[in-house]
Amino acid sequence: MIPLEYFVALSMVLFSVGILGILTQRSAVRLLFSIELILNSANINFVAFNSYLRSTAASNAAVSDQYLGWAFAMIVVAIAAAEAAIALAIFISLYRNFGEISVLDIFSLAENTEVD
Amino acid sequence: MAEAPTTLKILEAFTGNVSVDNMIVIAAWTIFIPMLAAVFLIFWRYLEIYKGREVNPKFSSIIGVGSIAISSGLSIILAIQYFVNFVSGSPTYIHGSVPFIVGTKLTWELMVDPLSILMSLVLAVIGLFIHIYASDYMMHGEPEITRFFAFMNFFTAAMWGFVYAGNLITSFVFWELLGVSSYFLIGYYWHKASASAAGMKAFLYNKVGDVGFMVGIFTVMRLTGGDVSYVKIMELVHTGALSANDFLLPSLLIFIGAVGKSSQFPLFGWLPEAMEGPTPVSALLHSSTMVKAGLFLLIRNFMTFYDVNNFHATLPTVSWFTGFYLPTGTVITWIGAITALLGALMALTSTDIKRILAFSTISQLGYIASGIGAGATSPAFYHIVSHATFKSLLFLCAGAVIHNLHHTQDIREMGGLFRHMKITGITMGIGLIALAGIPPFSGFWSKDSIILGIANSNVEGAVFLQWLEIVTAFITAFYSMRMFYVVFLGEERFDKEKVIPRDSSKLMAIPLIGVASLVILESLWFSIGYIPGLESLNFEKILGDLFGVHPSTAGEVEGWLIGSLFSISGALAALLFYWKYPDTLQAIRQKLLWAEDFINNRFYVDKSIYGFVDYVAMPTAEALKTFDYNVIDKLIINDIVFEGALMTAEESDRFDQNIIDGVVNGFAALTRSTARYGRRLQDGIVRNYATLMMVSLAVFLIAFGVSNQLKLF
Repeated sequence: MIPLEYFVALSMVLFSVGILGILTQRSAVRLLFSIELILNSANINFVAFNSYLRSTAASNAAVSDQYLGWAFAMIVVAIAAAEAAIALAIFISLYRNFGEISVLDIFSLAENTEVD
Repeated sequence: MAEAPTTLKILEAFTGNVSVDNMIVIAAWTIFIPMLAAVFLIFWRYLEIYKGREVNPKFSSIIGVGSIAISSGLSIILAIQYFVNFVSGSPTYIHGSVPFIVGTKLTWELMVDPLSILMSLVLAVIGLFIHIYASDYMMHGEPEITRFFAFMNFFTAAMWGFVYAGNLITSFVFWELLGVSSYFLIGYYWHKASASAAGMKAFLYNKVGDVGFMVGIFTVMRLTGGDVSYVKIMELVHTGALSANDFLLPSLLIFIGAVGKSSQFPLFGWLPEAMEGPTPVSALLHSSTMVKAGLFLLIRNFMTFYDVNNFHATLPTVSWFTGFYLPTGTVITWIGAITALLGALMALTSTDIKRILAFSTISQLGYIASGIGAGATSPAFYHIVSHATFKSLLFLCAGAVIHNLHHTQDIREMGGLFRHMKITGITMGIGLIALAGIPPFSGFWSKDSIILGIANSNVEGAVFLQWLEIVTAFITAFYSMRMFYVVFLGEERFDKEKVIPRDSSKLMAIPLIGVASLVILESLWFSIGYIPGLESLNFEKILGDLFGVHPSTAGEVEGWLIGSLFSISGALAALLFYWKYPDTLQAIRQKLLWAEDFINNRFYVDKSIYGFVDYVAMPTAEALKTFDYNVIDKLIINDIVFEGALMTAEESDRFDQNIIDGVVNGFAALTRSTARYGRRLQDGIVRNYATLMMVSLAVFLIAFGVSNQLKLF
């Protein structure tokens, strides 16, 4: 069995990559990718801990059904799908309005952002 | 003035139901009525001058005399009620007050006691007679009679206020009003330069005394803790909290006030000048009442001069320097005796009928002051009463003479008037005999009781002063009879073509006869008291019992014999010299011309005062002014204070600009630059915020990790 630390490490790496992506990328689509990476790093954690807890509690089969961490992963996947759909719709709308989807160049709702 | 005066209470005064409080109310009304009349008449005079109202002398004189008549009536009723209550055992000192300045101990206070009652009776009777006399005297050719009566009423009100005053502050206020009214009345003929100068002189001389009096009040205030009520001071003296020793300085200062007002040496120079006023003014103010104000003040404050034990007022022996004793009483007695002598000598050589009387007034005031100084307050008041009566009579007679001789005042232009002016001659004769001190007339008894009072006292040099005053009595008798002879007997020296001497009109004769009969009545009463077995009627004894200060001199026959010997011989000498031996008199006079010159220059006292003013006071003032201008103004104020202030201001301005403002501005700049750099964080770019968040999170996580590893917390 693969030790839990590996999963956590993978999750960390994914999370960090996702954060890095959010902080560095300009394209809205790439930001969406990064968000998906962060969400999925959390999913990996859910699933990994769920699996780990159930394996450690295997002797007590009566309560093993109660470890439902995977269910959160399912919900997150569903929400991520919905989110992606909405986000893509927003991006298309942005593109139609501004001709680009670089988040740094779209600030028409902001106050005066001039920095002296 | 415990309660507001009401009409009802005045009515009660007439119906005879006077409570103790109402006495104060009546006293207040006695002051108010002439004061209101004075204000009304001044307003009336304004209407006459500026609104062209027709001058009606009768109206003015009715208002003027009427108000005095009402007040005189009130004061007589008050006196009767007071003595009725007094006999039935009501308190001796009845006083009431209203606040003068709220928050201080200064009050308007009126007091009714035997002294004020008796003085107010003198004022009531003589004031009324003189007002009646004046209403006729001033009627002829005096268009400004309204002004005259306005100020006469003003004076009388002020005098009543002074007499009834119950504390030093109230006394001082009315004292100043007396000074002002005296100034106005002396300067009544203001278009005459000499009259307005005389008014100014009287005012300035009085001011010297006023300053002394005022400082005296302040020193008394310091002793008594601010309360200057006479009753309070008396209480403090009687309980032994304060003694006459403590009052040395205050009493001397108050005496300076009396010196000014009662024209004692050396401030007597204003009184002869004051004769520039109309004769009724001289009769009322400058002989019988106002000049008595100073002496009245001394008697009022007698408790500050003496230690009173068993009716004997003894002077405190205060040692200023070792072996040198100078109690106030001795000072007063000496100055009084000197004034008496100088006044008599000046009266001897003067030729102006009114000035003779003025100098005689000075002399008699000196007698009274010396009596007060010796602790003989009851003889002194005795003489105040008798002198007020006969001297006002003399002035009224002199006024009648002057009036009928068309305003000639020089006695050398009179003579032989007796056969033309019988009433005036007889009344003036009565007055002069009383002044001369011929027994049994009133002047003899009162003057002699003063002399005996000095002889019995413990003033320094009592025997010398006693003989000095007896000699002065001789001179007094001499000049009295000289005046009578020169004016009424001898050859007729007046201008027979212009002047037809005749007796005065009825309105002027009534006061003459009235006051003359007062002198006779006083003489009778005073004499009766000295008959063995009738001592209870002795006026001096009554006064002594009322004031509680001095035993009667009744029965001191030796003193009377000496006194009467000197007065009678003085009077006879005058008649003899002027009647039988005028040539001898002229020869003696020729030899003594230098002395006459010296006396006519008023002993150079006035000239010394003028010299003092011209050569000491004014140069000092000038020097001080120069000093003030050059040193204080120029050097200290301009150069040191002003420049210094300017420099300090500049320095502090610089400090303010650089340090204080600099600190404030520095903080502002710091804040601004912090803001300038800090606001860059808030650039509105979400990604930057997220970067910051992540970096912070990472830092925290690393920090927690490290601290966990090292077990820091």
